[in-house]
Amino acid sequence: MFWQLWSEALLNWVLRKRYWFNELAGLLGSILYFYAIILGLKSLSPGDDLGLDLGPLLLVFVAFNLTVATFQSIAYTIQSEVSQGTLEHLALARGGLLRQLLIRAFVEGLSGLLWAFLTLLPLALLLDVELRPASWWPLGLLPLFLSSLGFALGMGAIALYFKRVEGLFTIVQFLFLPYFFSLVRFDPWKAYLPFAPAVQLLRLSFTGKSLPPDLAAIALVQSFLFLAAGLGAMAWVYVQVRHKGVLGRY
Amino acid sequence: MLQIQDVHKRFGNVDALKGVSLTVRSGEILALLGPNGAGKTTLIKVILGLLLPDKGKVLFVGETGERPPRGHEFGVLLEGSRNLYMNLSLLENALYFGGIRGLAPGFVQPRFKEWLGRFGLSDRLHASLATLSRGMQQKGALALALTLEPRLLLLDEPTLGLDPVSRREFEEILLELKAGGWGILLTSHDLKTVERVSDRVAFIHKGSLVKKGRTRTLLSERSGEGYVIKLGEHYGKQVAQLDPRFVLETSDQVVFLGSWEELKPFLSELEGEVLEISRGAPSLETLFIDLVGKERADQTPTTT
Repeated sequence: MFWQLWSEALLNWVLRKRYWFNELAGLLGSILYFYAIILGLKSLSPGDDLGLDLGPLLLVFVAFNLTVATFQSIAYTIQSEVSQGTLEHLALARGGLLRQLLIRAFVEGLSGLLWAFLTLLPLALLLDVELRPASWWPLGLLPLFLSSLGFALGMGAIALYFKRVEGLFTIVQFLFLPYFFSLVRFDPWKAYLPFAPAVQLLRLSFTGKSLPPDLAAIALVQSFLFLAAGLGAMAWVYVQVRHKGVLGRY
Repeated sequence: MLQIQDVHKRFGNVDALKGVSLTVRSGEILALLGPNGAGKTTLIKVILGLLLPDKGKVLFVGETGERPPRGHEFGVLLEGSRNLYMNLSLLENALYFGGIRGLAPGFVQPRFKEWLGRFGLSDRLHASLATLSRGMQQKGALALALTLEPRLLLLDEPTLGLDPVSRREFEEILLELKAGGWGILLTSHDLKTVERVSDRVAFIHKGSLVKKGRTRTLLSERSGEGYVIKLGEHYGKQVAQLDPRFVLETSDQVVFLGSWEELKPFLSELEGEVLEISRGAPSLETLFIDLVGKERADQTPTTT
């Protein structure tokens, strides 16, 4: 298992290094994207005051970025492997395709986390937002990371079956943006909505608040459900495509 | 030893495999031959677990019993060189694909370098795959399959894109591996290579095995009953239509699979068109065409 993880880290590093310009542009794009949203909101509000705290908004945006980046990565990996003809070789990995894709999703998720922080820090500086990470911040991050991973596997399963899924992803992305922003104003009843407890936990952990055990429990349970559903969907689709003979092709 | 037992696979209305049973033993090369769409690649994918059969099973049989094989136990070349990432170097590819099979870089790197050296690609270790020629990519993919030191090698069209010298070197490597106890299942339309390296051949057509046996035995069974007939330019096809025993080899050459007594009645018909008749043992190519049927003659494999 270690060398499989090492391989995915190597692949991730080599590709990011090789296409550094695009990576840099993507990072800048994320920063500009959020900045454009703030400018848009400001131009719509009558005064200079937006009437909301930018800190939570920024953290929710980072959570959105992390989720979207992670869920797209696995599906695009599958698309790209199919077009290159290498997906079947991934299936020959020790432990099979499912394990290898989970490892890749994990590595992509970790690199998505790094990217999320690289987006967060310059934006916090630009917008004068003060971040006060609590000592328990890794726990604040964990449920969102696991939920994203589970969702990524679910979307990956759809990609494995249909092979091209950009259209669906555009829909999901445009649904997620307002949905995540709606979580800026958190109400207790929202704790049961998908991603909501994880996003709220992330916010609390990066604004120096104390750990709410009930919310943390809900967020963790939800994230494990996401992960189990994602793995289940991927396992089921993997059997289907091998029956139909469309594992590595359109 | 790998055992393929009564494997069936159907896609819609098409029976891709109809009860195929085969054994691949350690220390031998089995060649799976058949026209395009016969079911060769389908069978290889079933062996690898990339396709689930409707019926039948694939097993590794050893001293400790039998069990289904696992994908990482095979060295594989699938459909030519579509094995590697084009935007990575040869070494990066080797480290990645070795790693996902649980092999450490310290194991992969020296072996991969050694195999690349055998293929004359030592100086291309760090070259991006996209910058290499088709043949070099194929050699890189072969070097990787060999580096992983699998229990069994499954090579689907391994000589595709190789120049004649590289092909000969590759044949030497296959024979060395066989002598070292490796089991190899090979599919190829390069029948000259198959003739030189294979111990056994299995002919597959429309999803069924139509003939299998030792290569030398199959060829010698037919020796003495074949006549090579050299004809006037472009008469080959016309003559091949006279009788199923005529097998078209080239546009101006056919092989008659039968005795002199059986051939004699046709000679009067062919008068004026026959330039030369000689006795000759049929090649694997002749056997191939004879076995898979005249209707597939237009898909005769190219011997280069």
